[in-house]
Amino acid sequence: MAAIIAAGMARFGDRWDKDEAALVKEDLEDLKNVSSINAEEVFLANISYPLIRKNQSLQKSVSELTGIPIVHSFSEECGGSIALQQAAEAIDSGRIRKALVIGVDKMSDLTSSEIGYISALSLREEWQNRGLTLAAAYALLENLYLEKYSKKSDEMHALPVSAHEHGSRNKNAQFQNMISAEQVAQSALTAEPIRQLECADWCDGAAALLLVSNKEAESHDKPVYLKEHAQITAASALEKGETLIPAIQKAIGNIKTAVQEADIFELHDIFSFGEVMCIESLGCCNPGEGLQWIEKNKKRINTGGGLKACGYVPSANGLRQAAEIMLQLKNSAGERQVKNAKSGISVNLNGTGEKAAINVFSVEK
Amino acid sequence: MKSFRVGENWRNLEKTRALLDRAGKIVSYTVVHNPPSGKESPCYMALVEMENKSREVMEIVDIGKEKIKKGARIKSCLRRINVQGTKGLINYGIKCRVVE
Amino acid sequence: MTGIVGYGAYIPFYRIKVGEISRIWGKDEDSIKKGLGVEEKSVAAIDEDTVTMSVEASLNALKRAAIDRKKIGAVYSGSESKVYAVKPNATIVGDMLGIGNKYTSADMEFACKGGTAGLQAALALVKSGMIEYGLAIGADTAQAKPGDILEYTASSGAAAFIVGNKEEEIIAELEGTSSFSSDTPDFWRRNLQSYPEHGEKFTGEPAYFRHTIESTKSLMNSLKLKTEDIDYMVFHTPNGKFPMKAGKLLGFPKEKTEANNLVSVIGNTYSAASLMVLSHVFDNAKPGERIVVTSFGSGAGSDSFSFKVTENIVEKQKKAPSTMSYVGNKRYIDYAMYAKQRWIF
Repeated sequence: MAAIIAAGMARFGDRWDKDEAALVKEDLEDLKNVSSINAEEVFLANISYPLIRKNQSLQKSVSELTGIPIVHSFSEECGGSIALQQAAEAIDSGRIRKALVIGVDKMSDLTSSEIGYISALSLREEWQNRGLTLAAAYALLENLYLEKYSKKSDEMHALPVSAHEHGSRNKNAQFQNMISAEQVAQSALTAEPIRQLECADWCDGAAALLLVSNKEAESHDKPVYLKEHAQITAASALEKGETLIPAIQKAIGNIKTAVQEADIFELHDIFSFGEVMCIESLGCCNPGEGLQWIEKNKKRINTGGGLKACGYVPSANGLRQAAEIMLQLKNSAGERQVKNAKSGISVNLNGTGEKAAINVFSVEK
Repeated sequence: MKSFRVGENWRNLEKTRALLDRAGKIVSYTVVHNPPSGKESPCYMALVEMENKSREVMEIVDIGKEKIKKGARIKSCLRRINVQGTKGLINYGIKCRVVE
Repeated sequence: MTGIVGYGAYIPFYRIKVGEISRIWGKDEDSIKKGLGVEEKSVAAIDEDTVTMSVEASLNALKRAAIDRKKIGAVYSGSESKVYAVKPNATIVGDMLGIGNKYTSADMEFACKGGTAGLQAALALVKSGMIEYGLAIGADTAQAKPGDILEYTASSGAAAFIVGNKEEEIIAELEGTSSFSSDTPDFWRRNLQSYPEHGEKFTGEPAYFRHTIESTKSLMNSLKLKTEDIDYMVFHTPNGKFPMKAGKLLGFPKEKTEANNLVSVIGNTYSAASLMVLSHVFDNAKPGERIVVTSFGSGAGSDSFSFKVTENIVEKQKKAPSTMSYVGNKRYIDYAMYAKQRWIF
């Protein structure tokens, strides 16, 4: 399909001094350290401008910053993954040879009274209006799961511990501190049984990737191929009252590679329980056995810290996932390197799986 | 926060009316400690299976001595959902109560 | 024949005890309870208002009436706490009930008798043949000035009545109605003020008693009724004392005014009050019994009605929750929670 030859990041976190355009600029500077840009088209993912600023002028700023006048715009939580997929399709079709994919969001301007309502942006509109927050949605699903498989909520607490452990080795992560399961258990309840330290923080940041055709990739050192991808919009787990995400299950049905055999997993842990739903929906294990599977394989799941430690920048998330997988596949992940990583899969969601975007990466075409 | 456009308020009536005074049972519930602004904390949200088998999310109100639990029967009712300050419209919508 | 084809009541879940209010204001609980004849009152939840309560009561009335709701030709809502100053409760309720658009409607204000004014108008429209069915509602989330004597009784509730003219549907036939109205400054609320003002002893003899007694006497005279002919005498219930005194002044034995004691456990639901007692009476009434209802609204006026219960009531009583079932479904709150729910600050 297409290959990633370079990635750049603007550190995730509460970046008070920079707006979206400045974050993109920082991102592109990081990218230029690795490669010259000269792409033909930009694939830009951003929700903060239309959602919060109610304005669309970011596209113009980006075209000025990049010098590229063709900007495709994607506006949803998993927009970064979608932008990446569309860029790959454009290259695969032969229309262009090189694409610049950017994902940027600034969520720190939201007040605490707004974030609950806004977090539900991908959920059913009537439910958002009735006061359902994304945390409450995941809590409803987690309670279903705990009851069905006779599990206790504190069994989830190992997940954010693992996320922070990975994040402590990632200089671009929002949180680089280690945490303990006790700290998670003592953190405030947000929507029972979910605790504060199981929730990823909606923050600011940007990520950018350069994509080229497979042919052109041959002249680059260690390209990482986007081998396959799929996106599916479906009735979410919450709509169906079950804990397997139909959109993920349908998406992998469109993918020939055996996703369960990937070496690296980037999963959507907006809330720690989300990781369990992702892994079970991918079919890596039987429903109800997600926690055990994750425990056994935690060294190769969310190796950069996932959403929990890196921070959740919706539009940049899919690209951050791709960049982390690329680092692993190029054997450049330093302290957090997983040995012999040859393939990776990223799962990026809207809401509770109202949409799933899955990307399969490999060292081979 | 929530838009109070007159058209939206007016169009919502039909959806609200369709869900009013309907029976269902609780499939899952949670207690929300940081609900969106305008809502009381803590707030009980339930995933409910309605009599016609469709699924809805709604707040549980008038929490009494009976324990909220999976399988409890509910009836939907009309309540204020939010109010636009002192000058704007009042949005009515669906919440539910546990019934015997 | 014209009469009531369906009735329903609604009382919110929350209660505050007289003793909890007197505790805050440093008054003696026992003397207040004895003086007012009230133990506790209902308090609307923070997301309830006269529209939501009216819908609940009306849904109950519709369940009992068992009519085609699209044939309702009038909706009148009586309240002193209507939701918008301008925009009628009646049509928000009407649309929520799905009665279509072919109806006349208005909100009525006459202090605590807005509900019976609406009932009278609906009955007249039906009796004249101008409409097939009418819906009249009395509802209030009464404004209680903190520290005032009325704070102990001003409560929240709704009662709804559907009227029609088909003999096979009528549960209580209207025998007659009569009113007594005047300009009497016993209780009022100026525009944009949060709380009403009221006379003290003046609210008794020149207001409540004068209008209640005169209106009831007028009705009894025109229908040639004696107290022996009447099984239930329902009054407006501002407290537990006034209705009993009015009954005594009119010569009714205590048993016939017993139902008015509802006020002791729910307080004064203002525009719903007399209608709420009527719905409570209907829950237990037997065919052939006669009920006289006299409301009172400050400002001032009274509406009186005489209803004769029919056989049709027997199968309709159980079709919706009884008034007492709402009375028993409750949870107590303290003054702080009461203040938060009633937006005192």
